[in-house]
Amino acid sequence: MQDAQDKLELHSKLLKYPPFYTLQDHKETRKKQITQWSEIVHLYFQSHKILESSISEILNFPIFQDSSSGIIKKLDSSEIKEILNQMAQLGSIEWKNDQNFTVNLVSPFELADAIYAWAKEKKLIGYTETLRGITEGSQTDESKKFYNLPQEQILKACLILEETGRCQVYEFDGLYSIKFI
Amino acid sequence: MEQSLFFLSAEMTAMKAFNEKTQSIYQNMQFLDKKLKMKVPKLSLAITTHRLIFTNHTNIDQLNVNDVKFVYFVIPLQHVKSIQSKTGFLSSKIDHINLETNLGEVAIFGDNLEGPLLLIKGSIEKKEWLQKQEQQQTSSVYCGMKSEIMKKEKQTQQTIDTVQSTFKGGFEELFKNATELKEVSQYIKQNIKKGENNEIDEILSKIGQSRLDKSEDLFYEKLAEQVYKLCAELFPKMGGIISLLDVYYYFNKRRNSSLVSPEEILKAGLQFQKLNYQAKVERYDGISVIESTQYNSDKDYENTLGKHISYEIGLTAEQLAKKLGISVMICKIKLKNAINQGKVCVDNRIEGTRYFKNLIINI
Repeated sequence: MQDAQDKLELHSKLLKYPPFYTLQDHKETRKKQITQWSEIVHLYFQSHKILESSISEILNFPIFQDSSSGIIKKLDSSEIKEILNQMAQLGSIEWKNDQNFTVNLVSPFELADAIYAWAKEKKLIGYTETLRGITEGSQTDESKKFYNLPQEQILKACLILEETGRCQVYEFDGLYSIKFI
Repeated sequence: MEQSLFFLSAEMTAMKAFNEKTQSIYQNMQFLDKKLKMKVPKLSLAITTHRLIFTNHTNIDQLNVNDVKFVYFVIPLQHVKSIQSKTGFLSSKIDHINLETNLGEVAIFGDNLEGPLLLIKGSIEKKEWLQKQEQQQTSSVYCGMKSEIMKKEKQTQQTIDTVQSTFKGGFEELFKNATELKEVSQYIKQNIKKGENNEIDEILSKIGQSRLDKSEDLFYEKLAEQVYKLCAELFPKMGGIISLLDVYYYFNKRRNSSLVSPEEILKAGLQFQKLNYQAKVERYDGISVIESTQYNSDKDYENTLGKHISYEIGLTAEQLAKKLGISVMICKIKLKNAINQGKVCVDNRIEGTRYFKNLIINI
């Protein structure tokens, strides 16, 4: 919690620092700057529950704008794309095409662990469940990280579970079911 | 006495023309009229700006044509076609002067004819008989506004003529002096050995002359020494970096004459390393500068830029240059160095570019 609080303070400080809105030429500074931007944007997506968007849409997000000097200074689309590319590398987003992307509010690995932990809790080991049942079923609730997430993300997480020998994924007519092992 | 062909009624008195002046009078001259084959000895020769006057009168100014007691020959110089000096058979001394005129040939005999020859030639060259006296207009011809306008125009023209003649004389005098000065410096160059008198070297270098050999390398080495001396004085004030343009300006301001070109300053600067001076020529974004080899960018940042910017306060390059008392060009070079070292961050906006201390790298 303390770390989360410190992070919030740091982000607040950076968002009030005017050069933060200009990508720096110095290599090391730029790397740190983009990493910080990735964290800030990811938290913003999480807090606003944004599951998918596009570059043109997020250009006008208030976090990318600074009006401390009177005239608004914004990050441009190429700079935002550079930040999103970094987020894609970290698994926070996935590109659908050049402009549009989906947001992984939780990473696939995190999700896989959370789903298996839930399956153990609900004594579903050895039993089969559908993807919908995992995200919206009666045995799940809002407190779960995978609650109401898109099925593509749950499937990814389950494929990771399958790789690590913790489940089996079956497909029939475009519909998937998961057997927990 | 039969009248000589040179008796011309218009020039009958000694001072006839309005600007005629007697230049010299020579005694004991002989006059030979080759046409009449007549030689007249023991005459005085008066050489004026317009004529040659031969007479046996003791006072030329009192000469009167009607006075038959005295001999009187006149040669108007405007009628002289050629003048030649003839030497004796066995000596180089001038024996007589031959004058060929429109009306015949005459010869002048006497001792020491060099002086008269020069004066006659000079008078013939100057042609002062061509200067005619201005006709004075009677004031009754023009009156009122017209005469005022004419008077003003005349005054203006006189002023122009005066100014032009002054300049002409002035420049000629100036070049005459410069020639003498050049001769002096050439003499010193050739006759006093190098190193013998350093004071002379110093004076000569101040007026842009060098006692060095003509080889280019030595010239640039000497120039490099002078440029480095100036840079060493300026480095503490300018923070260890001076643009070549500033060096060119300060160097030539000190010199005042025989200015050095920017290319020569650059060539001199390129000699620094060879001569083990503590400076070098560097290039930043196409701008050439002379930088002290002892320049430490970290220390310089702490003492200069670092004192004026912070995480909260950002300044433009112009504001920083003003605070530091250096040129904007040099300030931008220092800022670029600081950015490359990760000490400074840039904030690019429509209002301009500001520079802040780097917060991001210290996270």
